[in-house]
Amino acid sequence: MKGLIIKDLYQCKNNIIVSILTSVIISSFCLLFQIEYITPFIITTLIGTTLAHSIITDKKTGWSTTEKTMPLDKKEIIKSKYIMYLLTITFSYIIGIIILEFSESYISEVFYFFPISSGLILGSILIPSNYILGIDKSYLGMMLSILFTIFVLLLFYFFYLSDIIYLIMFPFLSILFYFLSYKWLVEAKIKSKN
Amino acid sequence: MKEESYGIKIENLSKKYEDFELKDVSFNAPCGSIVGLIGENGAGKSTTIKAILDLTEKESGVVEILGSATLDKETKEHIGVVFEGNNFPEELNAKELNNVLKNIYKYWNEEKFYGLLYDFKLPIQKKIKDYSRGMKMKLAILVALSHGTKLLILDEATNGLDPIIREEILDILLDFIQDETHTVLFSSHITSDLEKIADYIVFIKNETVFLNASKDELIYEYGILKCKKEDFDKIDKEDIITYIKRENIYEILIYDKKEKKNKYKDLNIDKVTLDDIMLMYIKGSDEK
Amino acid sequence: MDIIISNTSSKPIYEQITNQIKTMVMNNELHPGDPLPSMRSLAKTLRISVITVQRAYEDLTKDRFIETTVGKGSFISKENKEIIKEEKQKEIEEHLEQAIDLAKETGVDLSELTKLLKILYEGE
Repeated sequence: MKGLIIKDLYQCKNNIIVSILTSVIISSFCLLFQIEYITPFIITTLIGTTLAHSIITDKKTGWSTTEKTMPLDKKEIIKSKYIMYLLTITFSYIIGIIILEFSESYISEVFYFFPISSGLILGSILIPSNYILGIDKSYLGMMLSILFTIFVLLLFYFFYLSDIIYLIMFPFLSILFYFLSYKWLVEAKIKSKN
Repeated sequence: MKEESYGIKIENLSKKYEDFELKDVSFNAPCGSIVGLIGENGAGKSTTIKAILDLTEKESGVVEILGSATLDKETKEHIGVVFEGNNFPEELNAKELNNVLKNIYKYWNEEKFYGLLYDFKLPIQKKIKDYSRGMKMKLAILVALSHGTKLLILDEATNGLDPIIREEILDILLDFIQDETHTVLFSSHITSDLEKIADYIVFIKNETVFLNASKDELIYEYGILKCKKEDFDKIDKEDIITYIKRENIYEILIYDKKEKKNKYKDLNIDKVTLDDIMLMYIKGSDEK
Repeated sequence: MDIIISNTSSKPIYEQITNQIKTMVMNNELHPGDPLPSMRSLAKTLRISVITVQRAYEDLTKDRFIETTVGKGSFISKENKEIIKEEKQKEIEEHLEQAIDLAKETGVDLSELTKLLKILYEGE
């Protein structure tokens, strides 16, 4: 599994650098128009989806076929993707927070966990759909995951009961969701002949 | 008597996939041999390889890869597979690929890998996507040779490569097989390559094994008898395996060339190629 | 040991190998006791199948030109090659006698038979 993570790092490094630069540019605009609180979201989403896209790239480059001949079980392969995604969104979240520190306006602590949590929710839909849908339909997965994430965010917004919800429940739920997504995908892959 | 060991041992393997099915496939690849897999596109060559790499415990029939009935992790450590086209992430270079693979394979031999890269003059810092087709193939093969591989499987790996590179690859395979515990399964359209180095030929037709013999037997026992209609009518119908009629010339596939040469002294019997055998069995008619 | 294989000759490759080795023994290029390359390495050098070389070595062993010991390899037979040549000559005589009998039965006379022998010997 370590080898797979190394491979993703090498493979995505170019894309990630581009994403970081894009994020920085977008963040600067956000700072300018004083909507900086969406900065971590943007960065997390951009960089996270780049990583999730590596699943598609693997199919295109024939690596996923080669992987099957290697001494790796399906669980390991999927696990490495989930871990890598987690690492990437954590990393991008930290960058987002650093940029936020440059802003002078007040941002409620409540927002602090949001980007990672929404990133986890995004990933829990995006990663399985990248695996299951064909290469041509990958945009569907992207759309689905973004829509779902926004849906969940809106849910929490409209059902605001207290700050506790945001500080604890939302992150907890997102972690649970992410973990369930991983479990589900591993089961599905082991059953299928692919 | 020395017990023969097998790289691949398959008996009555039947497998159903979404859009494909294998029926009752049986063949063996003894250790130390090169087995060539031939057949039309879509006849089942790649599916056979896929089935071999996909073994689960619920197989019908007897299957053994390197002596193991399932393809567990330890067995996979010793199998090297080379597919047509791209095998690796294109953004990486050989050095990065080495770093990835040494963390995947237990018996990865870094020294051997770099040695082979040097021997085959493959640039280490260049991205794989900038490699030529032949270079990519050589890289895939030498990766397959660098982790304690005992069974090397090539799935149409040499399609589209120029004759010079193919010769180099044949040399690599012959070198690999010097160790008697090594086995090669080579699926290819380029039957001339198989004619040179294969020990056994397995001919897949209609999703099952149609012919399974040593290459020498195929090349030396089969022959193509060419004659006109008058002579065709005089030939013993039992001697005709299949035939093709081209305008006024009949081309007949016969077996036991020596005996037939004696029997039909005046008629022309040509040496046969693997392509001829395939063609005759697939397109030939046996209407008598 | 330099063996040259022709892919276009109608003679099977294993026969070409046995013939060349036999000729080398007859010409003293190979001496009794000389080692032969292993089947695998010869297959590699000639770029042919191991089974083909195996067949050639088996045929040579049958005709007592070489001896194979497990673990040690194959060597040119220590038997005096003259004895081998004599035995082969006897075989040739037997074959010729058979041909002569057939010829006499079917009314083929000596000059025809000689002509036939010449054509077969020289032609391929």
